[in-house]
Amino acid sequence: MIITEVKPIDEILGFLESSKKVLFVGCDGCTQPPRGLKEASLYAMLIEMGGKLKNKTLEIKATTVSVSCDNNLISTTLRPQVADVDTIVSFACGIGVQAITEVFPEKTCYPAQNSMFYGLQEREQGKMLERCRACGNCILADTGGICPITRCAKQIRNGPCGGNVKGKCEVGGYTKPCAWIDIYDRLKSIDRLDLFEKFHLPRDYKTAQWPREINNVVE
Amino acid sequence: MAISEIKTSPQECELAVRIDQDACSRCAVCISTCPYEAIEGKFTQNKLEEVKINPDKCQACGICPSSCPSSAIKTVYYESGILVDHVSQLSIGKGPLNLVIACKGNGPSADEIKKLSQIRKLDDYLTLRVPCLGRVSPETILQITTSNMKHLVLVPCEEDLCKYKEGSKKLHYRYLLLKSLMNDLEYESNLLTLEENSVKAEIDQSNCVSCMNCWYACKYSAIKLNGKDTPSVDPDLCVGCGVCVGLCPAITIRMKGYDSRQIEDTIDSISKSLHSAVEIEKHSNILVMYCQWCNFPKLSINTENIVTENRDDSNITYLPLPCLGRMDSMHIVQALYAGFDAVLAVGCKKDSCKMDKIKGNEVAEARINNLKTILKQLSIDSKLSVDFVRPEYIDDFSGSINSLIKNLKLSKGNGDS
Repeated sequence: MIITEVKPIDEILGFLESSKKVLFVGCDGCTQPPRGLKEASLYAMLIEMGGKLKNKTLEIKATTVSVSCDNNLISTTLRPQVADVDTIVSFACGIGVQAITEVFPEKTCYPAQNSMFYGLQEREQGKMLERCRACGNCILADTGGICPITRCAKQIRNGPCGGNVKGKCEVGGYTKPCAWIDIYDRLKSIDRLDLFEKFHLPRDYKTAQWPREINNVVE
Repeated sequence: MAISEIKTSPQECELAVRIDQDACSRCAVCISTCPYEAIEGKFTQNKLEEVKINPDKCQACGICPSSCPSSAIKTVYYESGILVDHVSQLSIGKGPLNLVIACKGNGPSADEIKKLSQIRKLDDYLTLRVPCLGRVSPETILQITTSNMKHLVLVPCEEDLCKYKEGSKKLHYRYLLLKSLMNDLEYESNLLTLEENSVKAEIDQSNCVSCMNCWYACKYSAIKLNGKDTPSVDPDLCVGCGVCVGLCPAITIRMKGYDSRQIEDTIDSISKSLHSAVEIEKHSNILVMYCQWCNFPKLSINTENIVTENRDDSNITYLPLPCLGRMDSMHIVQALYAGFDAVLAVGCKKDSCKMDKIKGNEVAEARINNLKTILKQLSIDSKLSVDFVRPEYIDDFSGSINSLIKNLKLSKGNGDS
């Protein structure tokens, strides 16, 4: 899922300087923590209150869409609601903001949050952890299911380097685990240390050349 | 808030339940009835010398006062005499009454009670809410039933879901006993009836986004995953704590009597009445969201749970919740948005949460801390406070509110100067 962080209220208020009627659009898709209807309505009230403190009157409605990364869906669900607003604030990741801008070019759409990374939710610890960087060149099959591109600070494809002490990485002051030590332990536990000796060519940056697109997708 | 007539001496006024040692016959019934093992006997040479309540373990459920054969255990909340007096006052000038006594724990909304009364063909009825029907002694029920009463309907929680473990079971025994007794005395059989009811969460499938947060949060495994379909609540396992209702990001989990929309509307209508009232200087409007197990308010004839108290310096609205875990960040923000000066959330102390597996008080505390960091950006985080009290100490709850008002006055005073 895409992990996001809500922007400071002041920053969002800054976007809305010249706006009067605003629509806050939540996203029920993969954003974590959930940014659905409740989050959108909660921030709608908070931003209105923040506006009042600065002597600015805003009229904010809140709604939500099932997923924000579908132009068709945004068009059908949001069209009746955007008619009487001048600005849209999206609680989806960056994709949502761009999709809304594409569908409704006559309105301005601002992001309510910073999209952080693709990650997983560690509920017991209350943490969100980065797990994938969409490099387009996956080697998880060779590394026992641990991604060195994401979890190694140096993104090295043949590790470990000399910067680990007792399995902890020098980057960040020996607090985080070394991905390559983890990979070694994992491969050892599944008795596939032969994979550890496999040499990986340098990453193919062509596969991650922005903006990427995939053609001929038929569903 | 606390009923304080029984205050006799300063040492005793602190505790809500106490044993009158002179009246105590040392029968030890209370020791065996207490679901929390809070009553201890002091033996000397195999003889029961003294029976004592351990205030650390006592949860003020009221089961021991209602089972004491010599009426030696006194409680400040809903004592037998007070209940009977209250009912007789209600019936003044009204002729024979239809009365519904419901446990606050199962929180039947006014609508549900109406439905219930329609089944029994009661056109005109009064509702009385008590925290746990286990605290109503058989003598009280008999006294109430036989004094100018048409129908008495008892609405306890389902037996397994009594938040005081034994309360509902106790009432069932008493009900059966009274039924046979009243049959012998040739009273009408439908004079006294019993209807179980427990508040349950329910997922409205139409808006569910399948985020599975409820499934993770429910430690009672009451959320069923249905493959590709949206999850649903297993009513047999749901205990009605409302933690899932409070966290649902799509606001689609419902709970009769504590529905999100319902609470929103209530906050809305109350805030409107606050605005229309003449604004007095330094007058503050406070919303108190409290767990219904941490404080037992006075008896009232209101059919709804939500009460507004007008004091000289403040208007306080009391919003009871089935557990503080039901508390929803959105309602707090809504209350502040609607013009309340302060929101106070009151829950049970750390180890006395009635939802033993889920710890609603801790869930709520985490939510409040989270919300406070957001409110801090608008410098209104001081408007939200949280406190944990115990009903065993009768001044705990009112003390918590008084200190909040004091703080508010101080901050307002500073603002003016």
